[in-house]
Amino acid sequence: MKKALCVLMCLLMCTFTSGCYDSNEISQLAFIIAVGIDNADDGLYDYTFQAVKPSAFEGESDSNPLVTTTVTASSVYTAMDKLNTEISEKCDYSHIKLAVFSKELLQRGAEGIFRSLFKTNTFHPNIRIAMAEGRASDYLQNIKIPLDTNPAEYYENVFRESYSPYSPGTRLRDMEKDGPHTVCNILPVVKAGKGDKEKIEKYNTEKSAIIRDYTLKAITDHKEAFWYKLLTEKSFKGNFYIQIPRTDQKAVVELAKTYGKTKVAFENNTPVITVSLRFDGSVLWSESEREYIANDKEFVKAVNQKVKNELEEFLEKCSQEYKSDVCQFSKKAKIRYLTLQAWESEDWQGLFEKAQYRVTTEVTLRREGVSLK
Amino acid sequence: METSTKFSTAELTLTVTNCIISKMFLTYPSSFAKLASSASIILAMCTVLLGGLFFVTVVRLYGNKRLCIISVISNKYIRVGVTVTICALFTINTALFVRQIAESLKVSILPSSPIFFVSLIFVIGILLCSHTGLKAIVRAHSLILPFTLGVLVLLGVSSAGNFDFTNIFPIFGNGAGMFAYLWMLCSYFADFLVFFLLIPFTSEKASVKKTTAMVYGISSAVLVGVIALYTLVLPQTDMQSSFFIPVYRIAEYINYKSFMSRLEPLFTVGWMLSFFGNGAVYLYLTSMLTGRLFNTKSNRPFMYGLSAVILILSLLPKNTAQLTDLSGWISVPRFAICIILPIAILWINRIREAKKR
Repeated sequence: MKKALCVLMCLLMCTFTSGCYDSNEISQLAFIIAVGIDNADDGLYDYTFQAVKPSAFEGESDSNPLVTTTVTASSVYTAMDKLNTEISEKCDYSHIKLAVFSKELLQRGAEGIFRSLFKTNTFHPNIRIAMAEGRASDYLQNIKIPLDTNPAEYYENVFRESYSPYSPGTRLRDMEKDGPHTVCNILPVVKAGKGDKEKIEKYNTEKSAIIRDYTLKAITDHKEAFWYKLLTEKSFKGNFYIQIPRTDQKAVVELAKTYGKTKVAFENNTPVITVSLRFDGSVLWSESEREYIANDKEFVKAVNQKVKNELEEFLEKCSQEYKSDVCQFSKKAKIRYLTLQAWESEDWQGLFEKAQYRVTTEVTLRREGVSLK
Repeated sequence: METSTKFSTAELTLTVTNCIISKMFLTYPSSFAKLASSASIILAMCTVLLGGLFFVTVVRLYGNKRLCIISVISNKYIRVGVTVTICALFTINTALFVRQIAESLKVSILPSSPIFFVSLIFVIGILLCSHTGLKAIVRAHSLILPFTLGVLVLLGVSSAGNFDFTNIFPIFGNGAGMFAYLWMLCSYFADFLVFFLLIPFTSEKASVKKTTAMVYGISSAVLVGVIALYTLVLPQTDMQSSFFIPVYRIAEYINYKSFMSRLEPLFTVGWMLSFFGNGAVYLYLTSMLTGRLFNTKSNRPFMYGLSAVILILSLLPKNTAQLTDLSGWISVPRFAICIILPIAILWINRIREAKKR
C-alpha cells in the first residue's frame, strides 16, 4: 500500500513539475512547412519560408492558412534570424517537409547551401527536395492547398515515392556525399503555378531533374524517375503504354517487379554493370477487340522488348548523356575494393562514363483485367 | 561508510554493465570512426576477444575472493598512491563525461541554455543520486539497465528500414592501420574497475565467475550491436565528421508512418538515466576511497567537494574539439589504470601467496 502510494505521488508530482518558463503556446507559433531557395543579387540568396497559421484552421475561417515570407540572406542561419524579425510568432522548424531550389540556383551549383542544411539539425534529413522550374518563391507563394488538408501532410504525400509515380522521393539525406566521389540524384520538378484562376492549377510536373554534385545536369521526362525508383528499390510498380503488334491499337500493362539484381564487375578497367529484372505483368486495358492478348506470344515479346529497350536507354543516358550515377552503382562497385584508400583513389566518375551494361529483363504476363478466363 | 550494505550478483552485474556500456551511446569512439566500414565491426569483435582474455585472467587470478582490489595491496604507500590515482582518474573521467552529456543535451533539447547550467543540473543530479547511498544506486541500476537496453533495441528495430548494407564495404576499411587501434579499444572494458571496488559489498553467495561472465556477455553484445548499428545506418563520412552524437543522428532518420518524426530528443534522453547512474556510482566510489584515505566515518562530506571539482573540471575544455582531444587522451591512462593495474596487483598478490605457501 505504501509503495503504491509512493508511485501515485510520484506520478502526481509530474503534473506539477512541468514548469512554464519554456512553454510554447500554439497560437504564438508559426510552423514552417516549406522553404524555397533562389538566387539574389550580390551573391546572396532569397529564402522563402512558408508557415502555417494554426488560427486559420479554427472555425470556418476562409483565410489562407499559409503565409510566405521571403528574406534575403547570405546563409540559412542568417535567413532564420531575419525571419524572426519579420514575423511576430516564434518559428518552429520541426515540421518542415519540403525544400525547393530554383532551376537557376541549381544550374549554378548549390553545394554550399546543401552543406549548410546538412550541418544544422533544424533541417531534418527526411525532408523532401524538389526543383522549381521558375523561382522557388513563386511556387510557394502561389500554391493553394485545400483547407481540409493538413499542409505539411500535403507536401509529404505529393512527393512520396509510393504515392506519386513521377516523384523520385529524394530526401535531404540522399543528397549527402559519402566519400570523395560525386553524388547524383533525381529531383521532382515543380512549377510556379501562376495559371488561369478559373482552371485547376497544376503545380507538380511529370519532369525530373538530374543533379550531379548539387548542380543541374539535365531535365528529363517521367520515365527516368520510374526506372530510377525501380532500380533503387523505391518503387516496384509502373504502367506501360504498349502498341499491340501488327495493329495500331494500344494496351496498358501494369508491371510489378518481382526480382532485381545489380552487379558491377570490371573488365579491362571498364565497369560492366549487369542489371537483371523480372516483372509480373497485368494487361489492364487494351483497344483491341481480341480477348486474352496476354496469351499472344508476339505481344508478350513486344512488352519484353519495350521494357528492355527503355531500361537500356535510361542506363546509357545516365552514363553518356547525363554522366550521373543516379542509381548509385558506385555502392555496388565499392564492394570490389578491399580498402577505403583504394576505393577513394579510384576515379569512379571517369569509369562510370564509359560503363557497359548487360541488361536482362523478363516479363511474365499473368492476367488480363480482373476476371479469370 | 555503508559496511552493512549487501547486494546480489544480479545487482552487481547490472551496475557494472551499465557503467561499461553507457558511453557507447554518447560518442562513437574516435578509433572506430577512423576505421569506418566493416573494419569497425571486425575491430569490435577483436576487442571482444581481447576483453575475453582480460575477463578470463581476472577470474583465474581473483578466484572467488570478495576483496576490494585496493585492500589486496599490503604496502601502505603503494595503497595510498593507487587510491589517489584511481580517485583522480574517476574525477577527471566523470568531469569529461558530464561535459559530453551537457554538450549533447544542449544540441538536442536545451539549445539556448548555457553549458554551465546544464552541467550544474547534471552534477546536482549525480550528487543527489550518490547521496542516497550505495544500496539505492545499485538498486536503481537494476531498473536503468533494462530500460537502456530496451531503448537500444527500439532504436535498432526502428532504424532497420534505414540499414544500408553497402556501408560495410570496403571490407577492410582503412586497411592494416586498423590493428594499430586494438590496444586502445580494450579501454572499452575499463569501467570493469567498478567491479573490483563493489565486490566487497555483495552477499556471501555472490559469484565472481558468474558476474564476470554476465558483464562480459552483455557488454560485448552491446559493443558489437551498437557499432554494427552505427555502421549500417550512418554514412562513412558522417561517422568521421558529424558533430552530432550518433544516437541523435540515427534517430533523425526514424519516421513512424510519416506522422511521427523528430524523435531524436526522446532517444537521446533515453540514455540520460544511464548516465546519471554511471555518474552516481563514480562519485560514490571516489568519495568512498577518499574517505578511506582520510579514515573518516562518513564519506558524504567528500561528495560535495568532489561534485564541485567535477563541475569545475567539466567546464575547463574551451570547446568540443578540446573535449574530444581530452577524451581521446584520457583513454591511455584509463587503459593503464583500469586494465593493466588490476591485473598487475592480482598477479603480484598471487605470486606473494604462492611464496607464502
